[in-house]
Amino acid sequence: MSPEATNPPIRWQSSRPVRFLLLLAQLVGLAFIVHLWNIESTLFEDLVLLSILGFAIHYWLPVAWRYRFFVGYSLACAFVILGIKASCGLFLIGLLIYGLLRLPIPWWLRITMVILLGVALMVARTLVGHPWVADGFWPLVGSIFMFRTIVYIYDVRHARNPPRLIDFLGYFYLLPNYYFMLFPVVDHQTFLVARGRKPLDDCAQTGIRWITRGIVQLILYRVVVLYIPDPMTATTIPGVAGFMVMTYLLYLRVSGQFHIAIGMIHLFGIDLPETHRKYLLASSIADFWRRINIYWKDFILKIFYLPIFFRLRKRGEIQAAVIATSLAFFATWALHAYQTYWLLGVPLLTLPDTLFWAILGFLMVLSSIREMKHPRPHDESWSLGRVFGVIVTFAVITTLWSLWNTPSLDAWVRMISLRGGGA
Amino acid sequence: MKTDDIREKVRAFILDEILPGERPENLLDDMPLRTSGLIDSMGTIRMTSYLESTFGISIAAHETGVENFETVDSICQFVAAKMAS
Amino acid sequence: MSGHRDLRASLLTIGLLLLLGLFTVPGWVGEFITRLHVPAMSSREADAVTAGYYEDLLDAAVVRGSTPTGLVRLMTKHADPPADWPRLHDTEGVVWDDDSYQRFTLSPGSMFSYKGAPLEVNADGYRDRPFLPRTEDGPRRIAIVGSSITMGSGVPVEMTYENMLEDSLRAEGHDIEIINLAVAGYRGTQLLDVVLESLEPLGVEAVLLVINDLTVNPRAMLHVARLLSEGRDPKYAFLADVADRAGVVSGMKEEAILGRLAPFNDEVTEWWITTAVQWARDHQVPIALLIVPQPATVEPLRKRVKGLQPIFETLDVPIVSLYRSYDLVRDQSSLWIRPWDRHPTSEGHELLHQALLSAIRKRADVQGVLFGQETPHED
Repeated sequence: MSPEATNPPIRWQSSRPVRFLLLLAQLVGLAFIVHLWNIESTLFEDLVLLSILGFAIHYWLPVAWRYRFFVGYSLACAFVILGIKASCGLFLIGLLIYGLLRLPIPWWLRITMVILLGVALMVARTLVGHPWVADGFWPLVGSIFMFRTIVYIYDVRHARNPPRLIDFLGYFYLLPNYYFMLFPVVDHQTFLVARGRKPLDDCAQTGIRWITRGIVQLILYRVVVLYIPDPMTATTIPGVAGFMVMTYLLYLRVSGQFHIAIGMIHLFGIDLPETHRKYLLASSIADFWRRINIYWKDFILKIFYLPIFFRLRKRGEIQAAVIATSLAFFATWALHAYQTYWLLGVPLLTLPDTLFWAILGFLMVLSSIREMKHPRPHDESWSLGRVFGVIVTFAVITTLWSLWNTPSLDAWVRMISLRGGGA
Repeated sequence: MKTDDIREKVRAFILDEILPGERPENLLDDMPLRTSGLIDSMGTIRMTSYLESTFGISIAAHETGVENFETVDSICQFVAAKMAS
Repeated sequence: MSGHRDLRASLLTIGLLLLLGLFTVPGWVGEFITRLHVPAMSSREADAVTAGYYEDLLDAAVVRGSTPTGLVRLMTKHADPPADWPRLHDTEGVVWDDDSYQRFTLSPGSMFSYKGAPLEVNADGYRDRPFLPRTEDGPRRIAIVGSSITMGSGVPVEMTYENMLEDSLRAEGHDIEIINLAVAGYRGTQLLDVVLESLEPLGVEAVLLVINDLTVNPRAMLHVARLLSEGRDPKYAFLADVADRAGVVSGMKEEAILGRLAPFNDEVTEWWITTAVQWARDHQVPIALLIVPQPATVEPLRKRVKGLQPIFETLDVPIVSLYRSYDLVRDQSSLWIRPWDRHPTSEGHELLHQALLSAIRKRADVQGVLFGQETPHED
């Protein structure tokens, strides 16, 4: 059933000023909620106010000016939120990347130079505490460039036209990213296609809906935090099960932040897709993978899975799917370590982390084989089978998630054998 | 092949394989298919196989992105351009 | 297109959150909602960062960063410490004694910079003003026994909540001296040793025993785990017995021992608190327990201490909790001495001081401990 049938579109009957006031009133309400409920930090409040201000100006601009305003406004807000040093550093790195990719030299040489720049930055990452480098600069560099550069290079390689600077700037310097260090891997093509494709009123309303949803999730996260049992003393089945479920539900914070981040971008008429889709109701491992952190899934699909699959499909689709899925999860594991290096300064390679991705990857391989042999159409209707699938998937993911969140395999084994010391 | 023929075949595939049971009038030609999750990775692969075998074109991995596979309109334009080249 | 459902849902949700934010609902529902107004960290999250800032291995904090939840937590609340950010036992201000139970003590007379503030150790080997010479009719000596917050990591000695409290009480006419026996990094089992070994020689007449994150979190047994991993005698028969029951054997690594001791955390916590209280009773030294949280991690401590409630009820000693000290500060991370180090700033200490002073003024039982008599005081 299409979304249109269950959520009939608003026929905006009222005048534009009225529509604007309705949207603005909701945003002001959200700003108050952020303040009253102490959502995130004071810096986040600044981000919310800047987003509302930007929306209010952007709304009344001629359509042709809107995207340019979004880019300019995002760049200007970097100085406000991050300070001059960090902003200048970020812009310099971005312009270097853009410039290198536009050089009139062979493609392989351009890529090599960008890779060398990336390696140099990773080495420079070790300059924590250096007086020239602002606190938190390197995580910001990582957050903005570590994955989106990969996507950008992939798209530019196959682009029909040379990339425009304004598209580059808009794609990389996204206003909410100055605050949210863990940020969805926005797809470059999707970003370009999403601009202005939906009427601004509708796009902004969707954004407001997602920001609201994100705030609710951040509040629900606090409920989880208040009640999550102490893992060291969870020595009964209900205690351990409760701890495992609550550990999984801590993810509400990530999901909440992602909803807010993308919702804010919607306020500027950029109709990006949702980041999560009712992942707690996943009815299979494959369904879970498609619902949780959708942007990551699409990133891995685009950069790894599909290219590998297409290259190997002549050998047989099932074999191609198995190899592509395995390599996609290997890449996911490696890129998580890469991400941790950028954000925390250490590449994280732990046994629980490795096991988590290996097991999930294996289950996805099985799932791929089944789907290849028995293709199933998209079906969101509820049945007894689906309910059973949701319960089993939730149990499996909760178990795997608890493994992922323990510092050692020994600690996890102790926990599930009811001896305490789970984390 | 005319554009209308391409559109008819593409819509038929989507309604039969991706959205079985959906009323044709609910499938809008500008409705997001990839970014809404209606076409997932398996759907993309099946769509690619269908387009290649039906229209006699060859599709590379990088061409299955949102630029070409997002809506019925963009799929039809992509197929038409491929057939013309 | 955005639908009617989106608009309705947004309006309803925004309206509801505004109402719940602006107006107080009576009863337990209202209390629950009020608690949700304050950003919280789970016990595990707090431990992960506690492990990093309480002189401990950063490994634990970093390991938990592998998951998205961990990353978000660490990215929004935590920053990398510089490579040279000190831990007390790495500085020149400590004396290591491989044979001693405490493993290290402060070096008397030493002066150095520690976490951005000057740290001077007095002649008695503590980070405090010089202790007054003991005389017959001298001021009543009160000892405060705790860890790094109480020691005043990162703040000048005059700005510790303990010294500010001493100044305030003396200004109110109380003839008291508060001596600060806190050492950064000391866990509950070490605080007990301070009580048993140091209070009597110092002529202490009253004691405030501090319970903080380090003394009750899952890594509270780290001191004992270290002793055992080094093959040293845990000194107290109770601890040796716990090690035995936990199956600790020679040659085990510290983290493995810690894991084995973890299920005995509560039992050991009960032991060191009750032993300290019993010592005080046996020596006619009034004692009160003081619960001191870090900014932005109040809830995990509150939860852990709630588990100790049955023990507290049997002790029959005054307990002062300073959970609400930081309530008026919206962004409690602004009270950290650094983005990566959650010890309270001078402002944080001032808030602790005010909260403690207010509690003393209102509670006759606490006044009895500190001043030796009940003096009702109108606040």
